[in-house]
Amino acid sequence: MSVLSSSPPLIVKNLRKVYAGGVEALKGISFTVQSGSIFGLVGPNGAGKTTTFRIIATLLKPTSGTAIVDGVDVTKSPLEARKRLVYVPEEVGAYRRLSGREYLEFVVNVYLSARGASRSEIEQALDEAIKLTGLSEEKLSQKMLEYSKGMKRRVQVAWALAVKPRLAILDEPTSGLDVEASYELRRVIAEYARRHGVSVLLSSHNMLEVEYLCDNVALIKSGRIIEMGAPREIVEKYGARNLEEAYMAAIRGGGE
Amino acid sequence: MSPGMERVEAVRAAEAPGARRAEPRPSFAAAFTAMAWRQLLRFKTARSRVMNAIVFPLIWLVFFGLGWSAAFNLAGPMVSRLFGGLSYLEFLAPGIVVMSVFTGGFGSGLGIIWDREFGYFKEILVSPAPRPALLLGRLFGDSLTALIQGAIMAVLVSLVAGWPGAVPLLLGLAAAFVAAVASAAMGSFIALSMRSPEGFHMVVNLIMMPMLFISGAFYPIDPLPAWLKAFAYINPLYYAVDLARGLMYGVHSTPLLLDAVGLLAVTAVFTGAAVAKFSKTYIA
Repeated sequence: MSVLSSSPPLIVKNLRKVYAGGVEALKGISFTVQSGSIFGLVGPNGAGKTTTFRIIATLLKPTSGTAIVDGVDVTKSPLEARKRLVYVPEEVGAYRRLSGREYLEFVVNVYLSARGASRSEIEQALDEAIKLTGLSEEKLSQKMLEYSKGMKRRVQVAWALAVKPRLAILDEPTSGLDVEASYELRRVIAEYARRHGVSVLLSSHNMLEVEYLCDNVALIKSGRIIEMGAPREIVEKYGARNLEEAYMAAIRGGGE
Repeated sequence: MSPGMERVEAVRAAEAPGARRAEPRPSFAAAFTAMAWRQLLRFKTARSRVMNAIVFPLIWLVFFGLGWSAAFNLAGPMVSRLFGGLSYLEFLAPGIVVMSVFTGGFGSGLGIIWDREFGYFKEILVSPAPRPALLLGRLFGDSLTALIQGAIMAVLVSLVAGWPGAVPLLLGLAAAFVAAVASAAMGSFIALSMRSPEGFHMVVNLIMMPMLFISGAFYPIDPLPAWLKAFAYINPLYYAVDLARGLMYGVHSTPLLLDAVGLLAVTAVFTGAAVAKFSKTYIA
């Protein structure tokens, strides 16, 4: 399956989500992620970022609206959509009893064979993923329950990129990582987007990181997108010095 | 050329027709095997679960079985007829093995609850592998671990109740394996329907007790009133115990073939329900 196709990796249109109990988490948001680009979804906690990610990842059903991944409607054909995307949630899963290596073998195998990959392609992706974790062989043979949060995160993002999905959804990928690890991870994300055509949708609370990494940004507050565009544009619009200042101005001023 | 277009060109070059994939792997088989293997790997280090599944049934056998055995011996020859010519220990033993495998299988549902608590579940839900493959692989892996426990149990039980012979023992274990798949399916179905671990435990205990007692493991089903007997016929445990006892010690109240068919049918229904449930699972 080609990483490249004529459809944009992601088109979200008028997405609405009302949880049982009446909480309206998303009030109709729309945005598009272009091929090979990195899109940042930022906003305060509870604004609706994770809800958005979960809907696109087929974990949650939207109340109305559509999310189209690589031409596939996620509500109508969830299985097809899943073949084109990966989702790395914020909470790191606990594969306590598997070693890092075993875990990578497991997920890469399941993921790529569902896409019809050959044995050698799977081996390649596995080697790639192992390299991307930046962990030593020794570390990788330890059980994952002994890993720090940052290490678990690196392992997850590593396989998520190594399988070269059309769209990689990363919820706070650098959260919990130290400076070196953050730097490395950002570098790797940028490389995969620029050179391998993996489009990335990510969220982060670090505005400077977002400014550096993202081609486009959408600022979400209380379930609505209140600002959208290239980081440069947003910074200029608010006459700020950097994206963090612009963010603060937008959040305090715009929206409800 | 803009940077965006350059990237696009680079990717197109890499995806040229020359770079075709060779033999596609069947994704159902790969997902199934991967899930089953993962469950087995977990078992390797989950010693407490193994101990639980062996120690408790052993306690039942020794403290419950020996006690009643002694009491029945006092009762005299009438008793033999009750248990089809077997001593109470021989009567009870296959039931204990099946019980061990069965409760081990329910642990599959518990595994889902744990996975959900730790966020692993989301990753499985988002996986592009066909859902039936994922759940069936999981059920199979969990049933295999339950079977390993059962095999250990069977050997220990034979020490107390008498060695039934290698082939009968293996056949009895095969029946127990199918029952494990049934209990893993039931446990999974319940786990997928519950929101909390407490809810899961509550429902499981509610269901497991009656299932164990209306299985014929502890006493024969025949003398029971019709309305109670009806439950036995939809209980996978009943068929498994009767089959195991028939294969191991030659005593059974239903024709063995009927037992096998009944067991497979009930297991198929539970498994189908669990697969259907999982295929439609969303987080909310």
